Amino acid sequence: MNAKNVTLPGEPHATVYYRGGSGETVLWLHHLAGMQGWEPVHEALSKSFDVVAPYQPGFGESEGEALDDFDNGLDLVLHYGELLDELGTGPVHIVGHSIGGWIAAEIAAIHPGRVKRMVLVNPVGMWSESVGGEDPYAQQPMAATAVLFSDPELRNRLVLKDGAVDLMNNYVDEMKNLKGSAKFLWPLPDTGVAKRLHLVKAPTLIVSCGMDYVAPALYGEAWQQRISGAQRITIPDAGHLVNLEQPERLADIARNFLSGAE
Amino acid sequence: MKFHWFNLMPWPYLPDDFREKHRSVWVDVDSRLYDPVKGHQVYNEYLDLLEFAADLGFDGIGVNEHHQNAYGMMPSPQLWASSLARRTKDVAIVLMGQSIALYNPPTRVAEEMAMIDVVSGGRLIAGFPVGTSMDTNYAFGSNPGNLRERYRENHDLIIRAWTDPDMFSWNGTYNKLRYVNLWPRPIQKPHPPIWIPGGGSVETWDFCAENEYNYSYLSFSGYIRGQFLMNGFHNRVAELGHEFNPFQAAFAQQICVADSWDEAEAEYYEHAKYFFERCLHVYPGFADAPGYRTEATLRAGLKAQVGASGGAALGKTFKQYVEEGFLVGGDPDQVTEQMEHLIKSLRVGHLFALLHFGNMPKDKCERSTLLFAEKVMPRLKHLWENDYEDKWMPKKLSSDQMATPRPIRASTLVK
Repeated sequence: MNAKNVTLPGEPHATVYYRGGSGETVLWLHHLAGMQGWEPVHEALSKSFDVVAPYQPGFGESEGEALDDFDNGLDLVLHYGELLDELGTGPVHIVGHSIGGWIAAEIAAIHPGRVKRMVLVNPVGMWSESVGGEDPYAQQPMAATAVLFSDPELRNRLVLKDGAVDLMNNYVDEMKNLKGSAKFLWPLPDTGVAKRLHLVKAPTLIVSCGMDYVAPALYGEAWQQRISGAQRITIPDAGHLVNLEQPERLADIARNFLSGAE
Repeated sequence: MKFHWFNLMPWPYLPDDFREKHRSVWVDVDSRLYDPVKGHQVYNEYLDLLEFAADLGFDGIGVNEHHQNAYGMMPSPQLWASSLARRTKDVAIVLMGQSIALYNPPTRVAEEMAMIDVVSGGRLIAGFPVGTSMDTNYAFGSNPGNLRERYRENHDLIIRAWTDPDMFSWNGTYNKLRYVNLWPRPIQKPHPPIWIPGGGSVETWDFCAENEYNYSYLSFSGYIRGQFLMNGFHNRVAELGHEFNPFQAAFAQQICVADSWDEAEAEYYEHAKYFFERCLHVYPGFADAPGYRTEATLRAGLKAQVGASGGAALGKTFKQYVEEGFLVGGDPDQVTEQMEHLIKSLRVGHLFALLHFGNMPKDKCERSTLLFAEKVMPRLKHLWENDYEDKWMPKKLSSDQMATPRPIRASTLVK
């Protein structure tokens, strides 16, 4: 599948995104280390929905310099609103994963009319010293994303594609992506979203993962407590990057919830 | 050729199993390894050594800023620069420097440096490092993605604060001030010479070339590897259409001098080992935060200042340290020869002589420093002198304008 791009009004850089499937639109906001283009989890979900998966500005196939156009969460919320308007989607479902979970929740809090149902997967955006979490930005450089997996060995298959990926290019790509999320989560991921969650009206499901070392599952409780009526489910054996580790399972959970089956 | 005596001020009591038991000398190094009562002696000895070097005729004495580490214990080097300003005369005070991106507002740096320049009689060299990732991003929480931009704005604000005689407001991205009106102002006009200590980013070269600042390469991969970086800098200066001037470049080098090669090895090898194996033991996850280096620098394969260079010097003999340029060492003739080769191949006009390194005790350092000052330096001072103008040394007051502080204790020379 090829990436698409569109330049939104007032923005100097193009937005690069993937889109596939049909039916109700789901906006998929990726995790703090980026997105591998159109992923198996998008493909699975697109059997039942029209999935729009943009790169957050500065990540992946979008221009690194696009990051400079956005200073804070509010800027990103407004950006996604423009994108949805440009694509003419009307109100959408949102799946927000990791840092994407933070922005999804902000969109739902600030623009409730844009959001139908919402799934937050290992959301990042709150900090507690007692719960803690590994620092995704203080890792060995040539294994920078290993901590995001339940087992560091999984990175060899899921990121390095069993040796097919050039290590140096991958390193530069990983640094570009981590820089993109670090901008908003540095030095610890307290984005202030906690005080806005009471504004969320969209029916919400929190997905926590038992082997998420960066956003330990316990944070999921805090998100659930603050979003009225929110439900929660735990995948016990997945890491922060459950989208790569268990794409079918994650797509099933999202499909069931977004189709209103719960 | 100019020589500046420099001390990083390391903690000399890290245990022998430090590498095995602790993941990093920096950021999360266990605070229980520091003993402030011992620290009292350590700081005072280091300051004694700096003053001793001033007495022996070094052109400058230097201090620099690092945080939360046992490699160099000067989170606020300006405190020591002030002490040295009062207790020395003539020697340049090389404040190499204050991490300007970490001061809020950065006019604080402009003020402190003005104080030192004034009280010293115009002897300050103002260093503006971008700062290591360990210091800026991990210890001080500064966002790696905008650090360089913040540094640039802070730099611009400092320069204007020093040079604009009228009060002004500053509505920047990182600093908003309504009334900027510096008191005091530096003696040196337009301002003290500015040196940029860098570890090898292409952006720093351009910054130095465009602003006519001195580029000081502080890295511990030794002078043989240093040649690659220095050539990169000199080439960039030429590419941008500026004249070559060796005094626009400075380099830091560990040096030890004894009466013979065997004595140099016997006396100084263990302290070099301590430096390379303990002081540079930085957890790689703290060396290079995402966004700290630009994509351009990453692709050019340039290594970060400290973090990545430590590995290269592990497990080496004294002979290997010297052959590979990590250490300049031997008897005065051997040291003079190595230094001449370094100076000419890197084409530097300023040398930071790291005559103290690792856990070297004071008396050994005094002996090495004395030999260097008496038997090496005089044979090298002539280099570059007649062909290039050094625009990067302080322009101090004349001797009749200089104040005379209350008398200080005479230094203790090793006989």
